[in-house]
Amino acid sequence: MKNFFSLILLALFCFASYTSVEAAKDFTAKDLMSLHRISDGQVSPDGQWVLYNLKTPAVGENKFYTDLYAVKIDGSETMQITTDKAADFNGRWSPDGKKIAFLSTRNGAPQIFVKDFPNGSVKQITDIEAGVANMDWSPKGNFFSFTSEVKLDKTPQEKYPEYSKAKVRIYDDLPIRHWSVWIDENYSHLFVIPSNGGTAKDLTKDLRYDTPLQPFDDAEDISWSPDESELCYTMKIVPQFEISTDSQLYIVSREGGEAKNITPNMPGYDKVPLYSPDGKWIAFHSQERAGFESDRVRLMLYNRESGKITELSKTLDQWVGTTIWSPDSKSLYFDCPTEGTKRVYTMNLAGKWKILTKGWYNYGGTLSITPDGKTLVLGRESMQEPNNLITMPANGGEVKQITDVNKEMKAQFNKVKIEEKWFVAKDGKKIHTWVVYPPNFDPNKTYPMITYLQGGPQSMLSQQFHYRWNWYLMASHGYIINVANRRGVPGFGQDWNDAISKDWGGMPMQDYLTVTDEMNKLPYVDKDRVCAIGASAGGYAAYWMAGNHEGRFKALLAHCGVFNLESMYGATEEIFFPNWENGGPYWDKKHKDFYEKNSPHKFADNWDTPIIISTGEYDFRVPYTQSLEAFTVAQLKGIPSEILIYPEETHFIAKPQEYIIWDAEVYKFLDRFCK
Amino acid sequence: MKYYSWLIAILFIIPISLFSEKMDEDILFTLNRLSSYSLSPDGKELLVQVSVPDVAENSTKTQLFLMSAKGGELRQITSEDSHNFGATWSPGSDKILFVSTRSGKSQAYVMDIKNGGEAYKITDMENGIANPIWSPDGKKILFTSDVKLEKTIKDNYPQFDKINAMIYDDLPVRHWDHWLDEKYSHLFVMDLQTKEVKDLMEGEKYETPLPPFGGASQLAWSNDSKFIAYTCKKVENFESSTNSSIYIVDITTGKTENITPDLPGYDMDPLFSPDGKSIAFSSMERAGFESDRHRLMLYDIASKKTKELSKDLDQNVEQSVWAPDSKSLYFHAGHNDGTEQIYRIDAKTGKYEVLTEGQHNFGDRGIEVTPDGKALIFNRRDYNTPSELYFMDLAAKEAKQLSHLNDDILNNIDKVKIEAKWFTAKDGKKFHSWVIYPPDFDKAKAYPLITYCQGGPQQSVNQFFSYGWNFLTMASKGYVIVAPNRRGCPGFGQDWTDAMSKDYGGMPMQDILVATDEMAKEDFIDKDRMSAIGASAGGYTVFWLAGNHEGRFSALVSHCGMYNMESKYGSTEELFFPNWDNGGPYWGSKKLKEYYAKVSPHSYAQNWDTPIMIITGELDYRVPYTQSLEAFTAARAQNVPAKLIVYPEENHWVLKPQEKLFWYKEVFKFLNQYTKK
Repeated sequence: MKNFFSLILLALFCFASYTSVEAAKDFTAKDLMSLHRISDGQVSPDGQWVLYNLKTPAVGENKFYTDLYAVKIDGSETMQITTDKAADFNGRWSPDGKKIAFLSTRNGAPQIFVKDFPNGSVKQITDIEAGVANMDWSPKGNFFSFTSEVKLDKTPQEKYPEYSKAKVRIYDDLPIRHWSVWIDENYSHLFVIPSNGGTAKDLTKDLRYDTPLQPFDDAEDISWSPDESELCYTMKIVPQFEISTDSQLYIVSREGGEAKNITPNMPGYDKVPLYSPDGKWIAFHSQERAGFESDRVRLMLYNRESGKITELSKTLDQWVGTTIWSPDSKSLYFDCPTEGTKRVYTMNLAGKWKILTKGWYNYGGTLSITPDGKTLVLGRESMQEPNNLITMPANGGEVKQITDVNKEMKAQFNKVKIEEKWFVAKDGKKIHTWVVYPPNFDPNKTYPMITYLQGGPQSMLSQQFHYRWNWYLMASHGYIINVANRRGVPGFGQDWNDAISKDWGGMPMQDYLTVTDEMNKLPYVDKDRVCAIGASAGGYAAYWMAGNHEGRFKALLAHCGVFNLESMYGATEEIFFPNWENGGPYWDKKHKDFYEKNSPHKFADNWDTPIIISTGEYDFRVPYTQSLEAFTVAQLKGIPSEILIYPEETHFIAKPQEYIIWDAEVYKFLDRFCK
Repeated sequence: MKYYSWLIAILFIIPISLFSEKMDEDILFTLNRLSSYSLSPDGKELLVQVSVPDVAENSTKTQLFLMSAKGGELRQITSEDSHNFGATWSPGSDKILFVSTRSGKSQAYVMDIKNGGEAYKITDMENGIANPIWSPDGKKILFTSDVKLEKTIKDNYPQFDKINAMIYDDLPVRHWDHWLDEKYSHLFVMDLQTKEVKDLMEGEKYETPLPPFGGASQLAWSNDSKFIAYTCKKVENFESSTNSSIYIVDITTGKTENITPDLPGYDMDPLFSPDGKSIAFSSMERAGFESDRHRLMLYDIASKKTKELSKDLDQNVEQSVWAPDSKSLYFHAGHNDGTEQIYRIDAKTGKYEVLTEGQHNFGDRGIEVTPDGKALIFNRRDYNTPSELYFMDLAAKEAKQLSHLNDDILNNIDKVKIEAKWFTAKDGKKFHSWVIYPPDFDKAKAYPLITYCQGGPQQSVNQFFSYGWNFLTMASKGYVIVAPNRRGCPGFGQDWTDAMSKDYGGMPMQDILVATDEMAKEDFIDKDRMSAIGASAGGYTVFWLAGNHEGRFSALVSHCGMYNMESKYGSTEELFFPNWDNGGPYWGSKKLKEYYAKVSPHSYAQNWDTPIMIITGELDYRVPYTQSLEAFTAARAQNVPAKLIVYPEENHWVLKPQEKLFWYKEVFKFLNQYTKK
């Protein structure tokens, strides 16, 4: 019935673009770039509705549209909350459930707007020149918290008003850049404003530090106390920002004044504070070891009365992800990468935990609970199903899908087979691997294979529906894909996770070779048509392979890859990362040997394999000159090679047209050598 | 005797200096800059191109002027609201042909200066034009213009018209300050009567003039207006070769002949002799070496034989021109003393003589010969004075100043003392250095010293009046400057020029240290307040010194310097340069690996302890700005005081007035902080 309905819809609205709806076809990059992306689900205070954010690409315009929607918690009804062409996002319910606050760019820079629910007019609350981000409604509804950029230093042009036309940046300290931005005179500060408008108060006044942590953290770094008297926020107040991961949690009165550091003796990242509904605790995330951004993420409890901090997650050798409290303050829920899938856990205040979800899905991202504490609302996706919202009893059990934002997809595209395998590494350890087969896979035929090289390097390969490294899409190009959770990725215990640092070119690379060799033994894998692809640390792996794969691969792809560990050290931004991973800088005698043995550029002599390289000029993490260095080697050795340079992209290819052309060029190249 | 004249000079200057002021960058940026000049075929008028920075507008505009060949007032003939440049004369001396941006794109314009009237546009090329030259018979012009010969990414993916991406499957991907695109600069000829335009390099994926610095001197009309000679590098691996050649194209048939097929280095700047019998050109002997000696060659059109004329002159022959009787040529060249002088060479025997003398550069912006062959017109400049035009009667051999572009400003500015010194290097060789003293230099006082490290690295420290490294301005801030012609600098014979390649961290660096140490012995130098500064290969020098100067310097300034020879190799563009200077890429042999490890400044980062200022432009693709980031990281991660300036829209040079003024202020704020009490 549902299928039938969607067919009619397609026939009515999409006739021109989907003329052959009956015959399923292989999934393409253009299809990937037409899917709706759901996020940020929020249960209403009465537990009846779930508010969410929907992002939709417009390939022709090369941009995305973002709007807010609400779905009945049983999935029976959906309503669009905002319709403006501008981006509307960050939707939050008023505590009485009668209003929805959100951010919108409809009048320029993002501002807070409030709309009556279910119907009513829209009212603008803030008018702040620098714009507003990370908005949240206070628990009693009297205030909004938000962050906004505050300019604290003079620009070079202000220092030299007679040269106001000069384009120049000046620094006397690191860092000078961060991911995709040059550090400037502005700092992201925490503000509070009455919910009916008025004057916003800067709670982190004059501080030359940011909350939330830049550039990837968001509103989760800030939390209201239940009585609205104070807020807890995350900030990294350290003398040398680029060599430290020592962020702290600060408590500040809603009225402003002195802030108190509640995690002074914890040298790793402390972040994501969460007041318990009963006001007794602040739960937060913490990493133990200073300078290691991929240490185990522990769930901590701060006792607001005694100031004591305890670790709740001692018996869980995994990374705690997005976290919420139960309404009764007796337990917490969080998502957590575990053995190749992201699962949702519950943990009580004694640290006892239980996994609530099952199956080859990633759960979480959205994690919200009804006020009665009985129902969880979760995001759910898998390698070939984009994210949707589901409900699940808070103690686990049957799930129910409540949104279907890409209905048409089901009927239209060929599915692929997915398998989970474990391979034995050179040292006898087991490597978890996902294998994805092409559509209409026939074991009597042979197929080219892609060995997928993971970035991070510490991030798990899971049942993710990724909008850039989408294995379903890769397989739909006609390849068998092996997706190995080589050592270094989380989800398999911290020891496994730790095992890439200071050994980049060692066992982790051997794990890839093991998985490739084992797959090559299968009758349907054509071992003469195997390639290896990866981005960032996966691009490092591709470059490392270029000098060390001994004939296994016929083609390689490196996107924003690390090629020369020495120049990378000098030109990247967060130096704690190479300090931890490589042991320290290249000029320190103690570490010279590591650089000598592990930098791909030291193996340039051996290069002989066709390689396609891509990079973004705004990638300041792995500056694009790394890619130029690699391309120069390939070209001078007469190796067929291609380089794609995106003047406006960062470490990631985000724009739809840029991505589709990347996909076209990459598979044109790989197909040339592997098909 | 020398000393005596110095005293007189002081006595002479003192009364004036009561009303005078010291040079600074703000005054520097009000000066008129003589950029080129051309004498009318009848010898009566000079067409002069002058540029002046407009600081408020943050641009530099170039305008055209006329001046009597006898000297006198300059008469401006183009207006301020556009750039007007590249001017040449009509054969009849009645019109001028020039490039103007007045209609948006650069197009060719003609102005009738005999009868007056508005300049009129004669080309309408989609991609604009450059380098227009009138044919000797007056009926045609040649010019160059970009031709699109490949598909863009948008042509290949028409449905994705908002894409911003570049794709390459071959080197080079960049050149100096631009990404290579699908366009090629071709040679065109246009019939002035029919307006018919013809691409003489149709379909060829090669360029003339040589990008990005080549200009009209690489193109020449034959005397009968039937042929054009042009310079072009028609090779497969553009980035690995310096093998440009001289091509002669028949403009009617399009038939093209390479007249230098067996010469593997750069061949450039063809010049038909007035008698039509030969073509002079400039040639470098060794393949892949961009700083080989610039030889003056003669190609005999009848016999098709080429010979070198300048065999007896161990200098770079630059900007040659023929004498009207075709019996000799004039050019400028180094003179073993840190200056450029004008030479005459006999076209038969190769015998040469030097025509000028003094601590100035002569003719380094071009030499014009009067139609009767009896006199030369050329520029003269030195560290105290920007270029002015001079006239020299060849019989009297006396240079007489013709133009006075900046007298009103410079008459009130204190001059500085300039001295040539010869130091003895570690291996006993002698090398030349310029020393520049502050305006009111008092040898009883102690001054901070700046050791200037030359870029290139194969560039002469001669009497340039540079707007980038202006020694007058720098010395006027109270510094003594030593500017060594360390080995590698041309002007002192090719052996000396050759001595930098494959020895980057070796003797050339020792020369810099010797010059510094010798200066430090002087009582008037405060050896606790010394700094080293330089750009490009000079920036390399500074980075090398940062790890090896052993306490000599209190501050360092490196502009667009090479810091890591391996990553630089991989991210620069013309690879023949590091291939020659380093012996090859950083891979391939143990010897190469060791060379890179030994000479790369980043190998000595652990020794860094000296405050350093680092400056770079994001459009510098020669020495990519990440080199500067690598160096800044080495300094700051080791807690060495450092300052980094990044110009998002500048290239290997700082060209915009406000950006450059900012540069002067910040550089001297930094030097003053660490080397001035």
